[in-house]
Amino acid sequence: MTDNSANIPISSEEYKKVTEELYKQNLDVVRLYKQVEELNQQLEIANEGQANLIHIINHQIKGYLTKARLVFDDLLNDTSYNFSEKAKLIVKQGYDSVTEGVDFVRDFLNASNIERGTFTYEMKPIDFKKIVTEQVDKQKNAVEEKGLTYELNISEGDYNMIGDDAELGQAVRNLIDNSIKYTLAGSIKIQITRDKQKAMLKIQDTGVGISDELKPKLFTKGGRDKDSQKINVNSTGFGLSFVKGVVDAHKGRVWAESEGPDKGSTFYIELPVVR
Amino acid sequence: MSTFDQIAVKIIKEQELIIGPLAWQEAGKVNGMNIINTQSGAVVVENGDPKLVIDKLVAQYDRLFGRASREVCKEAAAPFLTTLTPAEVPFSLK
Repeated sequence: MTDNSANIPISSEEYKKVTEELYKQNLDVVRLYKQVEELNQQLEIANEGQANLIHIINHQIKGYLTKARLVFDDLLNDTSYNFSEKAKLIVKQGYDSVTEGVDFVRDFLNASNIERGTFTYEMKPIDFKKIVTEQVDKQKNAVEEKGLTYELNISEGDYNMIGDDAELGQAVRNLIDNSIKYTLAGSIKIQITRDKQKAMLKIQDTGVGISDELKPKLFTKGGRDKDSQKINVNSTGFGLSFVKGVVDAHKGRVWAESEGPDKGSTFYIELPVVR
Repeated sequence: MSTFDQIAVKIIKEQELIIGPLAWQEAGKVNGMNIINTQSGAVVVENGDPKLVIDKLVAQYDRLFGRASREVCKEAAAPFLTTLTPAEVPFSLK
């Protein structure tokens, strides 16, 4: 039995009515689309304005905090003040607190500048081995204060490359700092190796590990675990974003591995070397 | 490109958002409308009074899609009308 409903002719008036109705529906969709486009543009402008404002404010704050740190530094190091031991301790606490504030704002501004593409690197011949060794030395006290074991292994070879030593140093420092803050007991092992084309830095700790939920956002601006501030109250979520920005700018790779919460973490930086 | 050429292109492109490539096909049927290139949107209004050609273009869409399409043509042409004297404005766009 054939279905003849498709063959029933409609009048030209009905046809026109249907066509006009379809046109109006399409027109509504197009108008909505244009509204959404316009709102998106306004949102983009507003976001940019807000980002600029936050940037300016943070820059100002960094200025004030840096001045305050200089004052504390002066009080700590100038013996003519004759502070009691108790007073020295209080001044030191003030210095440490302001330093953390400066570090926070610096990390935020750096991550923000990298994201905006306004960060300028000073690329020149550098020795990556030297950069890593220096940062490991600088963090020795912090590691020992926490009662952690600390190990550095360097495979033979040159680690010469083209890069910005200050920013790569800061990136390495951020990773070591991260391991210290998130390792409550155990060890931090640092290793650098190289093959013909690349140098690899590996920082392995016995710390709190990385959850599956955190892994995708680890190196994003503000990316941190919901519980991270319980372990590290000063967690900014910008340090690793900065590391990724620097490593990317040096045509390298950075990534992390962990078997999960409480199972430690291993961070890797891979960078091209000069052959 | 003359003002009338620009008006024609704007109308066709706005109609294209709603009815797709059919907008160009229907414009091509209008006497006096020379579609040079649909990709780049090059159109020349020629052969006679350009005001009347624009009126025919608006009428072409109106015939198929009704009053709503006429309003779309008017909105599309609005920014260009300020450069024309009242006498130069096509009747369908008033």
